[in-house]
Amino acid sequence: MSVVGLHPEELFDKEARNALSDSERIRLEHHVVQCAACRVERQMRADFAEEMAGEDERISVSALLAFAKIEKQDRALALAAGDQVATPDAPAPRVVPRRRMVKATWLLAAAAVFAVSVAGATGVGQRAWSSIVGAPAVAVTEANAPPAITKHAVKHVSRPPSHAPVAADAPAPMLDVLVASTPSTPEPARVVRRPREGAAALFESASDARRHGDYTHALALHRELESRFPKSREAHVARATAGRLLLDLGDPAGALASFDEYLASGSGELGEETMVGRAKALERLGRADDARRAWQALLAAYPESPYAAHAMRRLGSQSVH
Amino acid sequence: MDDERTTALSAASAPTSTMELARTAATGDGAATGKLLRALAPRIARVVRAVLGAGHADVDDAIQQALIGFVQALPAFRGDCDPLGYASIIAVRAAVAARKRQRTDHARRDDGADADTMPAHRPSPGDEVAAQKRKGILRELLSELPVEQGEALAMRVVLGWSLEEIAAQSGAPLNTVRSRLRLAKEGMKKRIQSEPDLIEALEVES
Repeated sequence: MSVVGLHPEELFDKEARNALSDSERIRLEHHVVQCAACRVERQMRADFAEEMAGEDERISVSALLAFAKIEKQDRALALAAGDQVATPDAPAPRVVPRRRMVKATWLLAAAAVFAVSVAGATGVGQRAWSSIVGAPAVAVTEANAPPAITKHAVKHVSRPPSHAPVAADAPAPMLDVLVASTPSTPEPARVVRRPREGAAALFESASDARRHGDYTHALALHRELESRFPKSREAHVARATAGRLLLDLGDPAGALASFDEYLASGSGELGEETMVGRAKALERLGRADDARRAWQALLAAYPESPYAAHAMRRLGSQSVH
Repeated sequence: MDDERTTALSAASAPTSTMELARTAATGDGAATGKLLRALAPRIARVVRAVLGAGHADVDDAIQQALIGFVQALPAFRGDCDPLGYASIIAVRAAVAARKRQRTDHARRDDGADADTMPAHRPSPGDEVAAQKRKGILRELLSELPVEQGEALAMRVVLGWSLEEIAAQSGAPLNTVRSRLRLAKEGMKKRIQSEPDLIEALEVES
């Protein structure tokens, strides 16, 4: 398995909790630079976090609940139909052919009634559901049968559909359930990273720019970091990260220069990865001999490297040519 | 387990009112069930829409199934997790199932049209287009991956859950979750690699 096959999921979790240490952040960022799947996934998580954090729409469940007002016979039909829905124990609804879907959704509502009745003692469920609906169960006939719950049944409605069945002896109008705002349960807090000053802030800004695909800006920030804080740990790391970015952007010469700068300024946490990047840059520059030496240097320095197999393959292929 | 990893979806984190409602509803109390449903339905709907795509033809059917699934599952609710998480996982499962169902139908009809992946008719800002592309890729993946992997990936990416939260909510061992996510991510990687220009478009187009 390649090193990028070992995705640092725990580090992503820490990042979400804003609990990464500096070294962990460096490790994570370096992995993300190398791993397209993690890069895209991280962006996807941000995309969906934005979507999930929006204001909840108003929806009415009354339309759904209204259709539960059917009698026992229909519930038996629902069970006979065997339609399933997703529960923790029954993970997913089974495939229902589209032509049956309209009927199925209608029956599913009935199945829900039955499920509640099973939950309590005999009859409890029916009473329970009736109290949700706001009226006792009412027999469904051809005349008053509600239309099947279609995809339009659960909608942004502020009042129940006029065709919904209402028992003649119902003590109150059919429940008009309007969910007006977000649920009472708070959503997990979104990560708000506190801005930091100096080298750390620049490094973080560069990482953000890279996450948003603005590689040019990311590189500019890396260069600024190296210029303003040349002796900082962040600047040291930035040389390796910039090298990787340049390599991805099709600038192997620039990448090689960055990798060399990193290695020349002393060993660091990214030494192994930088040596890999350097070897790849040399390959892309067509400097086969130098690339071979770079792979050999990697194997000598990190014989247990997860890149070792790849390095040996590269050496093998180069020896053939 | 690391104390810092206290999940946001633990029973202790649930508001007392929601937890009490869920416990009462689990005994078959209709009034409590109704209140709980009203409180959680918007969240269920939001999760389903996120997984399926708001323009998906079956989005409302899936919301219905998720709501009903939640009611059906209530008797099994033991109060050891947040009802919101309980509802969310049901919503994910209903939505992933709808995705897979659509894929099956398309394979049968071979028409391939997918509303939420079709090009938008009106121009959008670049970053929004890129975000929609990424979401579209994830949604396609969810219909292609084995169910368990797809669900784990949806919980991870759409719900933003940690490994521990997914394990706790799905009832799967932590290492199993880790393995499912790794395999799902491999699927994502293959999907990206299958279209050489895709990664650039996804990351740079903004």
